[in-house]
Amino acid sequence: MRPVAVEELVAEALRRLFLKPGADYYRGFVEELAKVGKLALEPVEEKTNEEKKSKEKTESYVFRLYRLEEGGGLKELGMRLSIRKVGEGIVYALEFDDVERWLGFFKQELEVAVKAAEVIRERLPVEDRLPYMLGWVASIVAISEGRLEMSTSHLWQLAETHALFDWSYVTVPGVNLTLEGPKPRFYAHTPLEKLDEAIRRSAESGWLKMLGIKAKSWKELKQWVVENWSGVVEAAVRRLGEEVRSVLEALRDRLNDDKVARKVVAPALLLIQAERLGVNEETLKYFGAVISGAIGGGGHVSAAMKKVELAGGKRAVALLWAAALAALGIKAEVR
Amino acid sequence: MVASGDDAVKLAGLYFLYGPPLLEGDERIINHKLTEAVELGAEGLDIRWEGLRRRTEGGRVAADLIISEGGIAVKYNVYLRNDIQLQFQSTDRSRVELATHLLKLAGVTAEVKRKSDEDVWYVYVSTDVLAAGHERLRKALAEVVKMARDNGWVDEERARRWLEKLESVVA
Repeated sequence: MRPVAVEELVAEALRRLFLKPGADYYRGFVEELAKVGKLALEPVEEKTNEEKKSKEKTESYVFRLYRLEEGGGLKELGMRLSIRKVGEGIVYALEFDDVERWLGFFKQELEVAVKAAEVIRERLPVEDRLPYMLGWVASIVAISEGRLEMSTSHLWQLAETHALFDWSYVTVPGVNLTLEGPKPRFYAHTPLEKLDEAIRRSAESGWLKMLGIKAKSWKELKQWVVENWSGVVEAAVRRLGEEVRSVLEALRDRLNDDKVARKVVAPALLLIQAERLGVNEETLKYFGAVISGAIGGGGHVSAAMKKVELAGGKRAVALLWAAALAALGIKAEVR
Repeated sequence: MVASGDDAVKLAGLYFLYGPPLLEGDERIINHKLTEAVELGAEGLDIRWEGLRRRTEGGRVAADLIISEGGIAVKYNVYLRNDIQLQFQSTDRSRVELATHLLKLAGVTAEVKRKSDEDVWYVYVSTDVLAAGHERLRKALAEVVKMARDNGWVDEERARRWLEKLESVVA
């Protein structure tokens, strides 16, 4: 964060609240805040561990927001303004303490996403939904404590994932203040059983059946990948060279951790597919479905630069993706 | 992990062909990665035609138009009637969705429809929509029209009007 006065940062945050198109889309929310008139901010001391404490103190600010009433009293608005350094940039956001109080201002957006999801659900070109789901799970849909969860500020990502995961709970925990104005941050979750169901269906009559994988749940699918890990490593080595062997072999012991496994299973299955079934129109369609989730969640496509990027996380995961792509004759550079 | 050049074209093509539909309308539900993928993937498109035919004298004139991208191909029927008609139908809706995605890569927006009371899905587009497509598509269709005209299967005046539309914006 460049050395600027905190007043400047707060002014910038408030300026962003009124920028278009966000200020138009979320007019009701902006007007509700604007009618408060005078705002009061109280710095909040964040609870951080000792190691980070001194650094975070200088690189982030959090304020509780109050309405300044006529008699001089303060009324809490149920939200905090957060200003944080992330990488080279600064992220400005309003975080709601009382999520239910502010949710009403974003109901219309949530309805738009649900309607869009209905259209998407009907029009996906691959009938088996599992490859799409595994692509998203490999990117921004996390697995944690028995449930699938996602946080995004893109309404289209909410719509696309809702079409697949049928989120049982969706809320807006805050609003990012961007150069395109306010953008709600959506948070969604659903029981892990949704993924288990898709795995069961796929093993009965879809992609997994084609691959010869008998699994009835995420746990069993992970276990299958662990048991067949040497085949995955060999397939990757054959395409990328002996130097990737040790990195990928080391990954096997970490597959019990869902944080690792969710990123690994999709590219591992694509490699298995290439090994067992080769490349043809049938296998390409499953590859396309997996990659659509992975790019939709964590990729970048630029027609002008003629580039497609996939944020795979750790190097070992990126190598797996590179090997899966190499199986199709697509060369990718791991950075 | 980064794919560049022709590798990126192939990857973008697969992403678009088998990914979710590119929605229209409210800007917030438009997946801008897919929009970029359409533009990039179109570079890998191959369009050709074959099998110009007329079953009976005075019968309908038809040809096959094949649009392919990165190893995935769909064969459409082209009919020359009162206008140029392009059609693909199947009992497999997913296959018809794929056919519309390929058309979108070729610059043509079309919608999957269901035949009433039948488990048959289809996509259908005619002259004016086709004439707004990419140059490679318009060129292939123009070749079909010219060949049919030269065979005496299509009226000269009608062929001239179609060709005017197909060639009007060809660079």
